[in-house]
Amino acid sequence: MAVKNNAMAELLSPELLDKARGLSMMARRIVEGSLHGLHRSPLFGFSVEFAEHREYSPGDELKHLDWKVLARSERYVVKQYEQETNLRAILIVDHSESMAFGPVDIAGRETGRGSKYEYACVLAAALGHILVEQGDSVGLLMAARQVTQQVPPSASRGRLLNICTALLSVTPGEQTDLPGALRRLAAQLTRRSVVVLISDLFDNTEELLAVMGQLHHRGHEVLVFQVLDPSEAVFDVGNTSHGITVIRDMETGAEFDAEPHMIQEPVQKEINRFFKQLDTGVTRFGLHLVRCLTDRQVGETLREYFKKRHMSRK
Amino acid sequence: MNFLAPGLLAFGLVMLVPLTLHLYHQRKRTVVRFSTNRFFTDAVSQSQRRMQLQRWLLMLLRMLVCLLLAAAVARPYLSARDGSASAGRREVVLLIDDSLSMSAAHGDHSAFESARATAEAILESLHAKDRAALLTVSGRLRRDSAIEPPPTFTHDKRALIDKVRTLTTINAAGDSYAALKSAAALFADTQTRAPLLIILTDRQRGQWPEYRWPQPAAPTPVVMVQTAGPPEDNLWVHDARLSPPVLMPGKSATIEVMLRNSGTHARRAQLIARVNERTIAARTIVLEAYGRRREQITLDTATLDEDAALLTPDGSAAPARIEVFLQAGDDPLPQDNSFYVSGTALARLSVLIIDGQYRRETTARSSFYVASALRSLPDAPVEIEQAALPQAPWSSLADYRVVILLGAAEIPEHAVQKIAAFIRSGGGVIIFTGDGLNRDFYNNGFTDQDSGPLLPATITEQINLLPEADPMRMRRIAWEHEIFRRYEGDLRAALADITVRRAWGSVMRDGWALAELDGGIPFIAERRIGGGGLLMIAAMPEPAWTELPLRRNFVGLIHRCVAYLAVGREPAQAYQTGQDLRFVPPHGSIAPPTHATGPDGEEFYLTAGVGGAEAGMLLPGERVKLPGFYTAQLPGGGPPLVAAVNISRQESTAETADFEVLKERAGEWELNLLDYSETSGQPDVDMTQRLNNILAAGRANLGLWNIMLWLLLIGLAVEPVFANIISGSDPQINEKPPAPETEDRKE
Repeated sequence: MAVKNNAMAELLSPELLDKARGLSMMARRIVEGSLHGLHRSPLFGFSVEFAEHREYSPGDELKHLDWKVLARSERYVVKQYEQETNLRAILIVDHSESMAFGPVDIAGRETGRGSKYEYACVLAAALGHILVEQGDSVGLLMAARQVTQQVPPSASRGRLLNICTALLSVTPGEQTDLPGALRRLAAQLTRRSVVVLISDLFDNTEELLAVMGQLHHRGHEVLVFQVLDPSEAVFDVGNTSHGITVIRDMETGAEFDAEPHMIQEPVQKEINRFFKQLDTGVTRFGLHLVRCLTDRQVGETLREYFKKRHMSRK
Repeated sequence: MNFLAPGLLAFGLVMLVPLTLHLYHQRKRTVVRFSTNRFFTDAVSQSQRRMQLQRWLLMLLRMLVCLLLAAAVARPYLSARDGSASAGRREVVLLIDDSLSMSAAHGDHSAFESARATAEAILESLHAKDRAALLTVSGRLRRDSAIEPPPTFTHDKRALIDKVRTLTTINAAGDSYAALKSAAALFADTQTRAPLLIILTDRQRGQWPEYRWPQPAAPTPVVMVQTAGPPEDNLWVHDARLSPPVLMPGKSATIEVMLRNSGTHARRAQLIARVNERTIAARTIVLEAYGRRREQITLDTATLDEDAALLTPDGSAAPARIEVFLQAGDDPLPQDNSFYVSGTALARLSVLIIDGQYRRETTARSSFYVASALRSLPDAPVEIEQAALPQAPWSSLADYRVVILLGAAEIPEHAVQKIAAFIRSGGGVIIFTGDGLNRDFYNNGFTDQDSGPLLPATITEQINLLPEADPMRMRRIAWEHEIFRRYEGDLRAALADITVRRAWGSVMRDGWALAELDGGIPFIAERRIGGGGLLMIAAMPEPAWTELPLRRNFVGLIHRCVAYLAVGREPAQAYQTGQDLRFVPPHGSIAPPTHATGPDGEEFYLTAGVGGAEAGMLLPGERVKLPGFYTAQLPGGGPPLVAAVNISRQESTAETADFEVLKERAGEWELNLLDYSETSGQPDVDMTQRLNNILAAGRANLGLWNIMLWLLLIGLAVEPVFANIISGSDPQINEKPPAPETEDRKE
């Protein structure tokens, strides 16, 4: 238990929590939830607030029959209520090997920044804290080639601790198969949820977008935080010395012989093309994409995101 | 391709620097980890391969620049030896400078000896199928006959070598223009593919003057081999002249001598003057470094009459052979230490004065003033006869040397032809224009059948100044003229101060004005006709016209005019070796001379002169090889005709022709220079090798060197641009793309 507390304390620094405290998260879509909260369920159930009458039909439970109406007008109607429901969020954190990039850039220099995975962990914890604070349930799914850790959704503070512990218990080190992980998740999700994917998205882009599109089609809200090191967004070789440099893929181990100064421009074109492909897919499938660079504070990124989200709801 | 300095090709090793750097970068391999290789697509690989190719090209360009640098320094040329297209087709013209300056001593050898040795080496190295021709700048001086055929190309190297061995320098300046013209003609006739002109010379400025060379039909390479420099530390007699040019017994004369020293330090020498082989002066002089010195040697003709035999036993004048020479030890070019001048001696000078305005009162006559002036020198052997115009002895003009015509309005028509013949035969006429002068007669009727109007100017109108008007004075006096050249200092000022109140205006036509009045009016004008001359003075020698007869200058002036005209022909004819000598018999001679004797006693037959108004006998220039006196004896007896011949003094100077100027003047001759005048003077091993290298070239295309330099410059200009493109310093490449936005992407 002490280990878990330490883990949470490590992830949730007071500064971060302070920044996250003012944030509130409003689901843009009505999802089903087991807890009462601030979010309206898209389903009409039998809860506290009366909504309307409807004609009784065979099979309806008799306990919902409005006896007063029956007594006054001999009509069989049943009461319907609008139920206050809570948000159910699943955080999916990519812990593939590529997420370990960051402390050392392509020129072999110390950047002074953490890895993308560290950034993703802080981001996930912050989101979990926000959700738990407002009474929503949150779960975690650690995915690389396959799902390695899973924390079922819950609104308890203890569950947040479990999430933090799970984040810290994993180190990046595998190849990515996010589409597979998302497919398995889709099969498990019986209720409408908010699916939050935290990854660098260095995967099969078409397939990944297609799977996320399926989740959205089933009524889930899909929110993607693409975590990138600045040198992955802007391919800058800096003062890399002239000569042959072997660039090794952190996930596959594939090597590419290059003279960094020669490939800077064409690689940047490829990066821009990748971003454009993602942006196009996100628009087409109705997803939300937030691009996070690890040289920015997590709190600033979240605050900016929620501000825009509020504006768009109004 | 071959090189003049192949050793400098070692600079080409510099090209290993870019190669080494390139390979070093290629070998340097560092391994770095990146999150994904998904961005390193085929397009990136292709782009990288393209840039690697460009880098290789850049490296090759840099190596090429290094090679070009080394090649340019090594001075390349296209070699055609041993199997190349033009092997055995070379046609080499050897042009040897055999002018006098080449004989100047440089230590124990002369430039000419070096040139001869180099020429032999060149001929020895020729391919058996090559052809060669030998030219010298001495031109026709070298040939024994004017009709001797010009040199042609030959395969017979041995004959050419033998000919080179027999060559000696001439006692003259060469005719490089004619030699180059001959070379151009040789190449033009053969239409050779591999022409080469090799000039062996001391590159003396006088020998290679700054005119445009006669051009070949096509661009032709030339190698100018400077075997030694022009004469250094040389002393010479630059000029000497007799003044006045006519020697008269009892009347003093002067030899004016100009001495020069081209050396870098002062030299002491003995100056000696001889007249008719009798030493009349010997003095020690010191010539400053790079100095010029003017010396005057006075001739006491009274003594000369006895010792130098200026007069013949029968009382007639004998020619004066004047020799001035310097004695100085260790002079590199002793041939120019002597200078020869011939003087004309007269036993007596007969002057006829014809007065056109004869007056009874003696002192009123113009002729009175002239005769008085001529008689004022008691020792001068001048015989004066006066006559009024109607009694003028026109038929016996040949008895006089000079005729003075004073104020004649006009003269009879038959007298005009007599005067014209008198002048052509060597006589002198002085005309003073006076009152009543008939302009039409003098402008149109005073005419020779052959020479046209006899007067040097067309007379226009008479000028009479009012008493209150300022008188005219003489301006623009030709002080260098024989009549005026002895005027100096106060004498000049006094002459220029003489006033004129009346004069005849005229416009110069066939002569030249020796002195002009204010407003450019000719006052004394001269015209040479045949062997004689005519002086026109635009005023009468009377006080009413000019104060000239009242001034002391008048005596000297009238004497000089008479003495000048008494010489009978252009004085101080400056013959040089190689020039045609002309012997003009005096008027009244029975027959012209048939032969002449040279300085060394050699006899030459004379040929009849052609051209010009003056009949004479010619000694062709190719026979005039030695400096000294050439004497022609008249068949009827009497004093011999003497011509003094000197060596051109352009051979004496130490000035070297500017190569850049020569190159510009050479035009289509692609001039190159091999200068080993700074070496031992002998064709040392290195220089011989370089020359042989050039010789080995069918076409010593040293212009290739220029092409190399241009390529080098272009390469140096392109390399930074190319390097910039490859190294990515292009600002468009370095421009970073905008950072990705951290915003919600959903619409």
